[in-house]
Amino acid sequence: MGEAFTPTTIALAGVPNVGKTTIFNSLTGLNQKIGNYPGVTVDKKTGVFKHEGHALRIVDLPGTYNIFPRSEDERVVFRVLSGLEKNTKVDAILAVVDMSNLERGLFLITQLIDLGYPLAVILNMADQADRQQISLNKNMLERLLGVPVFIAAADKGQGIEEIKSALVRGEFKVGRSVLDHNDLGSEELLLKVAGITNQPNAFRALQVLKFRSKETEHKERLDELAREFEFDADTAQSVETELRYKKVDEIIAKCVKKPLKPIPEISRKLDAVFLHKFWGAFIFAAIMFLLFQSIFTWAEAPMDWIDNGFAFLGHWVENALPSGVLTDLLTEGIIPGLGGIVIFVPQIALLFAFLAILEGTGYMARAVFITDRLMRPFGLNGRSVVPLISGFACAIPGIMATRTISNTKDRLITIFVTPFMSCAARLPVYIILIGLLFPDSDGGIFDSRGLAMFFLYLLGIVAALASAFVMKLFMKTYRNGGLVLELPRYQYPNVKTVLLTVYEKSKTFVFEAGKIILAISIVLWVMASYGPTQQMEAARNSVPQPVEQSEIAEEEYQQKLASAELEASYAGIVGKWIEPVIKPLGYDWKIGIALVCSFAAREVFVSTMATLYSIGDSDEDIESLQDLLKGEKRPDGTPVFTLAMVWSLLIFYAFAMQCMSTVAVVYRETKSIKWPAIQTVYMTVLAYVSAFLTYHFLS
Amino acid sequence: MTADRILLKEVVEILQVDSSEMGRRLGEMGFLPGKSIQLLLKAPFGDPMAFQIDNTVIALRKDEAQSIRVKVNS
Repeated sequence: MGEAFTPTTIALAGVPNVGKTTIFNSLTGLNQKIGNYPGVTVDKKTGVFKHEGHALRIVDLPGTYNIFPRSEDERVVFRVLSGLEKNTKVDAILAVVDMSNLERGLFLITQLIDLGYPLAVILNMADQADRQQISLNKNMLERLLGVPVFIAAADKGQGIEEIKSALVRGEFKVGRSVLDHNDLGSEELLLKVAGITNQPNAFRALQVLKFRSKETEHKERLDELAREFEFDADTAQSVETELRYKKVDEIIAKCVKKPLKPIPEISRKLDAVFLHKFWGAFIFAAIMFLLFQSIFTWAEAPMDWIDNGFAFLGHWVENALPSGVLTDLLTEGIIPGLGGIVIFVPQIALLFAFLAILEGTGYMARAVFITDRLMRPFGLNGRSVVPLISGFACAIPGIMATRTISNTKDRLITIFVTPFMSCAARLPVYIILIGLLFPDSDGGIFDSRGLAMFFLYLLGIVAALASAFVMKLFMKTYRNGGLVLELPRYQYPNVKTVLLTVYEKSKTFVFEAGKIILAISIVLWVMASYGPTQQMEAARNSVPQPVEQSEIAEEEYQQKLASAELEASYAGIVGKWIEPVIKPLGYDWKIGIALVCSFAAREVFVSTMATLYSIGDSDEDIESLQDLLKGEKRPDGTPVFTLAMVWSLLIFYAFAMQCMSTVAVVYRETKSIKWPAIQTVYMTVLAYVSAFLTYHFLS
Repeated sequence: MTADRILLKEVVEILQVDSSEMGRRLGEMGFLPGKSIQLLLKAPFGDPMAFQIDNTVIALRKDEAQSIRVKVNS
């Protein structure tokens, strides 16, 4: 009791689609933490496993088919298992294999054995092996590998208890080396490398030597040795693969019995439907439509509750606290700022619930299969489709969903172009501006307003695909990714896994991107509510006190005051300061202020315009805001909101990066200031030039 | 003949896989000389293609399948 103990660290390893996540979740439950490995965007999932008074740290390694570092995922596995990851030292490995598909699983397992780690193997999906009448001699497999073997069907909770007790007892064994390192490289060379790199055995030395170009430490010394011994990494790699599969086949021949005629899997029949030449594409479109609907429509109600909840909280704080700067900061800066973060949670939660279900059923790989060819000319791949479609609702969950794209180049391009997809926040802006263009419904099936809206959505798609195409040409230095994609067996999704994914993604967004969003919203609040003292004072005095003592007069006075203050504030100063820049687009300083404030979120445009044109709060008053905007005149008496100017503004909003939350998420997902900076500049320049051209063509 | 040109449902034996980086990757996924593969499905436009190997289905792009030389059993 109360004794200090050092938890041992166990790595959970396995090839993709073997139910590793289910096992990780049943071992650690909610005791999970998601971090990041340095230098890559791979989630580092660690959890604490508690059982019978013991506690162990479990690191869930990304699922990979081998330990050779090609993708980011594989690089993490390679680094952790070669002891190169300083903060993640592994004492033992728990490896998961699909019992009905031992070939690929054992390839990885035998590599893990050769690395020299104490190991225990879980043969998962035993029920599936049963169904296919695959029988296995467990004792024989244990003898051949020299490590303990457990049989489980983690989805059904079978075998988990046994694994838990085994973990507590520390049942891991160093297996019998599978490959002779003399077959893979000269012993003298490998021993020298082991000495230099401090690796405990020849096989680990070999891996570090093969992939020395990916690491910097000792690189020169290793290059020299490789030359001296005429060591060729590619050959060594091919030789290892061939020898290892031979060994794996031998092991399987000794302990696995398969039926002479393989039992056809249900998955084949399902694929005949889901990947049918015509119906396949139709089903895909239907599923994407449902996904789009869910993040667009189903999220609406909870988003309203959050919106109202934070508004209520703001009013309550306003009344409960004595008025002053601090209260204003709370009610106008921090609370709406927090609200602006939390409001995205329903969309993020719904999208990731959907994605976890699609991934869990095995459909996601099929979606990639269907769309891969279509996306390739644009420098994208099948995995880019879901992020892009999610972008119609909101770019933020879409960008977060790009983590499933293993190729760095394809992933960066997808992140880069997703904000062009016309998100839900653009909608209020479009509605009010299109309303200015076409005040009355013309009643036909092809309503002009509907057509204008459709055009703007189409424009977003075209901009995204065209930009992807251009970016592909500029990113020649990055390696193109292949496909080589396993189409896993169809399965029922695991509810616990789905819920945990939703919880983790929402939490990550709120706590990580949230910090940046909150900071920017406070800055924007300060800019919009403060200005040089004298100017602010002058602005306040310029508004005449109401003569009557009626409520309406008082309200009108407050609105005029707010408008005058905004004009004199720093935001107003910036608005006027950028007026020369935006004048060629047809905008005046008031729109300048709206553009500046829109950076908090695009829909802020509506409320800012409302304040500037001195009317009550947004939504209910859209009609009157439209009337006000229409009546707005320049000093020379011509209307401000002309056809050319409104289209120019619409085009600007379609292309410009006006969303600090997106910038924050791109920063988080690319781990560099470079990408969000390039993206913001690119989108803004594109928006500016297009708006300029639009204005001049139309006026 | 290369694997991208076999018929739907046809079972063939792998003769050789290119010694390129792509070929090595395919090798690690089990595409090795002597193994049988079957073309199960093709995506719209005939690309990518899904092959059964051992007890797994793996989708390859056309150019990836091109790096696998096969022998048609007939």
